[in-house]
Amino acid sequence: MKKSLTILIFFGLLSLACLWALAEENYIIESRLFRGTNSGDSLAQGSPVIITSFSDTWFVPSKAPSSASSAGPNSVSAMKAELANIYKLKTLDHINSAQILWDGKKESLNEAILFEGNLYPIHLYPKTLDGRTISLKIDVRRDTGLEEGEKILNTEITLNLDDPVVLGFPLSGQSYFLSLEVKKASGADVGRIAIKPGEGELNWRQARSLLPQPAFTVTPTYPEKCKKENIQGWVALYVFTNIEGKVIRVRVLGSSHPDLAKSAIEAIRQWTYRPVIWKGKPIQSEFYMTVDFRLHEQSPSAEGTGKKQDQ
Amino acid sequence: MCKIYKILYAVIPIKKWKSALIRRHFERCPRCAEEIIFKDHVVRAFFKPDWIQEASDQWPQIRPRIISHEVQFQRFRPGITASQLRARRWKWVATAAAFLIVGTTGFFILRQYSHKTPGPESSLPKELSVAVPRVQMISAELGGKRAKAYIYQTPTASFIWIAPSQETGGLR
Repeated sequence: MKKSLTILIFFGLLSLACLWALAEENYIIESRLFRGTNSGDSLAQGSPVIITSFSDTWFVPSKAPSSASSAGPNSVSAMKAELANIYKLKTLDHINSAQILWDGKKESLNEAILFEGNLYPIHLYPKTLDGRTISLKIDVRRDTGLEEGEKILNTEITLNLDDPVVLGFPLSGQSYFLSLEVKKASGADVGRIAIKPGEGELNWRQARSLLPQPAFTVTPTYPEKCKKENIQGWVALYVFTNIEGKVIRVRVLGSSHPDLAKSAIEAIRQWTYRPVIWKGKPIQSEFYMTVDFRLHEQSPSAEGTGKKQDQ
Repeated sequence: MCKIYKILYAVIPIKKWKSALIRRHFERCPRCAEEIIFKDHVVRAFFKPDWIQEASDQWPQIRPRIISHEVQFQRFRPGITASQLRARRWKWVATAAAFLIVGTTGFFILRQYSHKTPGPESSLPKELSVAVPRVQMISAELGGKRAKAYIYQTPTASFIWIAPSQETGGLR
């Protein structure tokens, strides 16, 4: 009897621990970046390949990250129409979309967008105020190779769940719009994550989900075959770097076309990063990366050539 | 070996616990103690702290206890067969599993219900609700300097334009 009671108590405690673990609230922070102008000048000279890295991300391998939620009032096209109407914009480009999974506890979420030769680290610092309100600090910078980088936007807002906020700001004569929406993640959403940073093949204590900044990048070449056949698309990668910042492995999580995936892997394997420093020591990293190939924008002359970020 | 201890051995992750639990069981259970002698691989798998000797060396210590157990068993439970005992053990496992299932299901139902309970402000349409502002600007800096924010709201989103402030009165 005593023995059975012990077993029962043990199972009870075990189930409580399981419930505690399962009771964690997860959120999806959906961010979108747009660039517009009201001068009427075309922005079509932009980069045909936009690379976004994430330290924490929710990703749907069956869908292109940038085409997620392509219908409905908060879709990319609906938001573009609304932005163009409010700010009287003549041209408006959707640069990227990201869906970042937040466990409700982590203090910072990191994203870095590389386009037109510039790297823009975006740091989000979310905090739940109550069940429906989130406090969000947003820090957007341009990487200059120095530790701090160039400050672009630093703001703090509180927003409600499922109610998007679009932050517009001027930069280099153009208008940029960062849309942010926080949603509650369902169990199914969390279950669809292919791999979580820090839970990959590296020791999770070593591979903290901190995003290293690239030191040397090579832009993926748009495959000729895809150009001819007018194929646009995306590639989702999971990248491993060693303590020296070299890319040691690239894993394809999904892609819309195998040629695009091949081109993305070839380029990303040549990248080097400034290693993440943790407690005074360089550490290994693993993180998500999405590569968007777009045909409607023309190819820059530097395409396919190496570019030193820290110059 | 008794099935419940096989399960426990698989479920409990800490080796020290495993060995302690199973050692206690072997000291008391005649069937397992007999079986262990013939299973050298089980003996080798044991966690061996300083205070425990080789399992095979313990036979002289365990044997008298087994005999006394057998005597006790015969004296106080003459009517219970081995299959009945096994059934009783499984009853406890079934009860624990049932508690687990009921607890888990109840917890999730309650959790879902608590999420669906409307708050005092949610009885109003979103655009008419004044109790909870849709967005609040705490601070704004552009290029490291104070900036001004202009908010425009539509039913679908809040649009905030952050512009450089020439005056000192921008948000910070």
